[in-house]
Amino acid sequence: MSGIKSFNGGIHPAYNKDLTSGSETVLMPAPERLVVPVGQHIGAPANPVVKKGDIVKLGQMIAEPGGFVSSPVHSPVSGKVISVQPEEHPMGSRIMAITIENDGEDTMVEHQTISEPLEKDPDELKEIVKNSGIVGMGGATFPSHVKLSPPADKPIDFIILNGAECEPYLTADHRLMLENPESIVSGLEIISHITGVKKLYIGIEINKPDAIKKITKALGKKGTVVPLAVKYPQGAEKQLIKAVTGREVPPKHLPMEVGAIVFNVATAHAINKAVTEGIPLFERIVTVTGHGVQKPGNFLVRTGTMVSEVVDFSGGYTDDAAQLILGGPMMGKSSATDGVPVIKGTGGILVLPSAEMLTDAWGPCIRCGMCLRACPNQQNPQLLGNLIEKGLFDKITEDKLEEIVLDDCFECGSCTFVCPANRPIVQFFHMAKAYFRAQKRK
Amino acid sequence: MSEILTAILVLTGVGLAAGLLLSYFSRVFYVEEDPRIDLVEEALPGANCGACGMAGCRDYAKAVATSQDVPGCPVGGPETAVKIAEIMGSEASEVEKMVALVKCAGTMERTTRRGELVGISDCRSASLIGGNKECRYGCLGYGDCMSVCPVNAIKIYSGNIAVVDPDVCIGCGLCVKACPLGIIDMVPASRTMHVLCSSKDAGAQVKKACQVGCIGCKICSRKDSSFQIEDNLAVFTGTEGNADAPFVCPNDVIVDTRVYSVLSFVESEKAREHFTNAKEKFKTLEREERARIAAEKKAALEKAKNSEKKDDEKIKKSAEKQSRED
Repeated sequence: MSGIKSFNGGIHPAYNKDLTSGSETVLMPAPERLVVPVGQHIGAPANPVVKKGDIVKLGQMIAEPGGFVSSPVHSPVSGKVISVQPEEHPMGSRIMAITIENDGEDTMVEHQTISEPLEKDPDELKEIVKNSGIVGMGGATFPSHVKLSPPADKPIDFIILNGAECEPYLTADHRLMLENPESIVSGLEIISHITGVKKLYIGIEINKPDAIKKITKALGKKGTVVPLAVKYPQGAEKQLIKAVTGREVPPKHLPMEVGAIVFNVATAHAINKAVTEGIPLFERIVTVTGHGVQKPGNFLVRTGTMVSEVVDFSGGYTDDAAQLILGGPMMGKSSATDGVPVIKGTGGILVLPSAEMLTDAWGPCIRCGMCLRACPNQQNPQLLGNLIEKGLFDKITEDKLEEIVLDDCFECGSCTFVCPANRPIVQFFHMAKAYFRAQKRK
Repeated sequence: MSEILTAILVLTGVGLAAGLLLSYFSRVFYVEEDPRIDLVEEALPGANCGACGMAGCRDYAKAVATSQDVPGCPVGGPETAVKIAEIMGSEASEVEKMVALVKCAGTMERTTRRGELVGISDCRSASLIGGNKECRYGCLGYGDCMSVCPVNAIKIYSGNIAVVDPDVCIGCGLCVKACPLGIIDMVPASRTMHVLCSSKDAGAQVKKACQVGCIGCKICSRKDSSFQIEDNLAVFTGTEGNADAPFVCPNDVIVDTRVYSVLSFVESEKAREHFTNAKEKFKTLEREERARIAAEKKAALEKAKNSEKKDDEKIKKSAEKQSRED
């Protein structure tokens, strides 16, 4: 097919998107009590600026950034702070969180609206993005203002919006593109204005023809919609850049190395909301899906809402629900409990019934090389996986595999997906990364 | 015949020449080595475990022979230290024998579970998703420590808790490094009292997660000052604790190894039952003691009051007398 772009490697999992792609986003009312963790982004966790007993308003900053690569956290409701203490976090650890009792009023904090953002000073707009706690909403939650501040020696040629949504099951971005195409385009214009880049692209997988149509209409002549092949992980930053621009980001480097910045469509929407309406980031669309829930659907949820409450609101679990995954089935994280809050990066709540759970035993590597062909980074997952399985971490450091392969791996899980021996290769990598992080801390 | 003779002669000649050359070169290129290195190596336990920080026993022996400032062999303990001191002609440095201790007694029945881990079955992976127990400091029971132990001193029993056999443990400390939660500690082998908990969580959180968790209530430190409470967790720093200390602990976290082994205290229902009975007895005795003391105090107070009354009357009487005399 000409005109449809992609990258090397990758896999074709069952997408299962029709469970929710047709269901309109439903606004979920804020619950009575919200637990807002201070770590909802990559980088230094935010520092709480409220204490027990404080009265907070909707959109009030309740935690300030803990460094440059960090982001503030805003109150998702108006009400009273009832505790500031470590709570269960979706990533498995227990970190500081602010628990707020909702007064049901949704009294908004004082905020300013800008009707003509393109006539404002770019630095002023960047400051708004920074203070609104905008982070990458594709799941990596990288603070957006850092991406908007490229160093002077790295000229930027392209801004790419990521509407690929290659992760199976998830339809949050798809629904957003259908329901709010103008807001996404306006967000893209603001990003373009801040960075001064004029070449704008929006990449969308061709399994979403309705979204391509809507976005093309809203975008007009301001940019180009790039139809992308349906392949996982098409929405990964480096793979998207390769598909759209043909440029390859070298290992260990950021996309700005080849003059590109990538934002998720949901991030563009959030930036537009923050700039034009003055509303900071405290809610997001979450896809509740899988055959383990009664009624799959898309919901606009405030951050800090418990996963259990979102599932209950959607219609509850089925009787054979067995596994809870926060995010999609490929890159999401299996969670032992639904007593964790939705955070800025939670794009999906996937519940699998026991029959769909992968519990097959895994065996030794048969050296078939399928993972090599699947790896979107053209790396060798087989070799490194075997080394990690045997605990040969010294050998990994010796051969510099840690920096060449491991740091470049973004844990898409394609290697594990294709492995005929069911080897948990990406899980090995995940474990090794944690090991080397701990080593470095020592 | 002559062919065989030639062969024998040539071979003998070659052998002789080679032997002479070898003996000559072995003298010319002789490497002077401290004979004590071999002696020290022989005196060492020879486990090659690396607990001293060197790459095996030979390396350690070399270090001992060449420099003064070498820490004692933690595995061999005082006996080895004395032997080495004899060889080296110096004074034996103090070495305390250390053994590993898994500071957790939260077996399957005593803890709140947190979902099943499917996939890679080891502690390092399990710790990444927050473990399989509600408690973040609870032994995961996948046996990373067991697999690194060079002498098989660690076993995982039915309660899914790793337990170290202090008699087998050589104190190399490899398990301490292997545990991703850091709940294994090296303790002096002579220590007879241990706090079997590592949870630094606040009391309410601990109570929710585990029946035998330390809540940092500090009652034990009132009984024996060797218990120190840091971050909501009691740590025993002495050698032989007050025998009553285990009984005052509200959550039965403290084990007295003079009475129960760590293994039986963690795994055996019988030992726990015995302990509970002893604790009950101790509590009753303490109550009686307290009642007795209170009664004594009351009696003393009464007595004092009575004598005071008498005194008052005496003073009154003398005052009256005086006024009458006036």
